[in-house]
Amino acid sequence: MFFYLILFLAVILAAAGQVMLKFGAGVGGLDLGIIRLNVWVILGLGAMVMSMLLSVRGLSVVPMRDMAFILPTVYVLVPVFSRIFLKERLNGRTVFGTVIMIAGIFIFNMPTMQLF
Amino acid sequence: MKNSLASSTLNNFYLTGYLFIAVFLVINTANQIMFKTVAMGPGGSDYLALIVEPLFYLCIVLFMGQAVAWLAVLRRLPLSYAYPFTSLTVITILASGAFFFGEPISLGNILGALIIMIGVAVIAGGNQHVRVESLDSL
Repeated sequence: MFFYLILFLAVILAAAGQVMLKFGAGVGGLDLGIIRLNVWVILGLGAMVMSMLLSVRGLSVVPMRDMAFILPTVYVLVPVFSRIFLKERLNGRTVFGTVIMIAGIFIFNMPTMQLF
Repeated sequence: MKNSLASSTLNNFYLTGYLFIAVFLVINTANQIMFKTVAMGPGGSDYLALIVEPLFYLCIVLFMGQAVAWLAVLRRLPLSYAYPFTSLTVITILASGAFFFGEPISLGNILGALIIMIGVAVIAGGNQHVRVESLDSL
């Protein structure tokens, strides 16, 4: 159970990191041409790295078949966090496409007959 | 005329966003191939061997390149719209794994990849130009 919590924390951190990166991309900071560097970008990158480290730790114990159900939750959390924290408008098409995409990720990760 | 110019500029701005998504996907896939290559060598089980492995540093450079490309995307497109595109790496990594490392592909992989592409196509065909069109209607 502890490692499942670690994985959920990793997913939440990944989604929160994306929100921080998006927020940082829209505010001022050290202009490096195509991107700007500021505290939000650094925090966002830090959250992503932390999430990656936690995922590796969780993966060492949690079986892959369970990961198939945990990892796609980031695709649910990112739009939800974007709506709450960034006030982005979600239209029906984005929500519908995301639902289809998550179904695809589930099926992709399901153990089935090997083809090649 | 002024609105049409603004609309065209905004369209180019968004198009650059899509271009950076493509760059992100290419770098991310290349990085995964490099990580896998490093993991299959001595660096996969020994941290000391990892530090002296030149490919490991290439992985770090690619990771930074990937981050820059993604930040460039986020400057141009809404997060909730752009993020689902990252799921396409599942497909590029599947193909790369089979091509470079002879990894197996299952029926579920193929079916899942097709469904992921449909989902991303539904999102991509959607909302991004609403703001541009609304400028034209002013």
